[in-house]
Amino acid sequence: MMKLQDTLFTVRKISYPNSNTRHGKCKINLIAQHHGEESAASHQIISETSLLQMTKECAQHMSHERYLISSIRQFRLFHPLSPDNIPAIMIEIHITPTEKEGTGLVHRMKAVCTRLGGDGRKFFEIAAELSPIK
Amino acid sequence: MKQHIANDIILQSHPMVDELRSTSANGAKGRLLVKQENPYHSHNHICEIGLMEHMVQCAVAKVKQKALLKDKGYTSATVSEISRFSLNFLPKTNETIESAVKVTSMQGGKATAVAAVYVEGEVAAICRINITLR
Repeated sequence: MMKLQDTLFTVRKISYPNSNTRHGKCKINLIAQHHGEESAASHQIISETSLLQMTKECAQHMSHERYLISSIRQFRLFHPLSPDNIPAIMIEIHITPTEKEGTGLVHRMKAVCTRLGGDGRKFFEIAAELSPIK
Repeated sequence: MKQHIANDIILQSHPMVDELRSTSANGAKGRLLVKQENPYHSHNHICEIGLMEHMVQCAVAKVKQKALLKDKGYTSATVSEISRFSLNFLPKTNETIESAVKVTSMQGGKATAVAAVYVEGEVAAICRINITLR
């Protein structure tokens, strides 16, 4: 279970469609917490940087790496996310290790977040470069 | 003329701006002291997501100030896209980060700002932020 600001989230399950740790589907429960008590109702919109941190955490869990986000080509937000309206989401992540001149090894990440069990509506998508760190 | 931007314009999760001053119609400068108790602080640094949150808060505040001055009736500003984020280094505990924000366009309820954060004149990170006003 991880905490972002006042919102907890749990990575319920990570599945690997291609049986490798470079492509994963992370199922996440969003749980609002206020004053130490879980609350099913929350009007708190999860901020964009929290969504980014959530995605980074998922990428780390999925690939068993620790990362630094070294660059973001694009991080697009389509709809707001709130635990009140959206109890669970899925973030599908693709990671491609690449040798970059002058920088060394970077992991190019593409992530797409959709509602779990929903109509496939996208909440956000990210194209970024992650630097593995020890 | 220096003008302090009211703190209540910065309506984000955890305040990541100690001071924000308008420098021109489109520009502002921000400041943040990196402290251990900051939620984005880890391993003697502020993390890259904390830097991004600082830039986002500065940009949103400046855009909202411009919108208020133009009296367009907007009541909220949300980030729709972050792009061209690039990280050079992570500022350390007790260092002061200074940022420069410039609103490059603002039309029809949409604004774009570019931001950079510095430590002692060295660029730590940059990014571009698209903001939607409602």
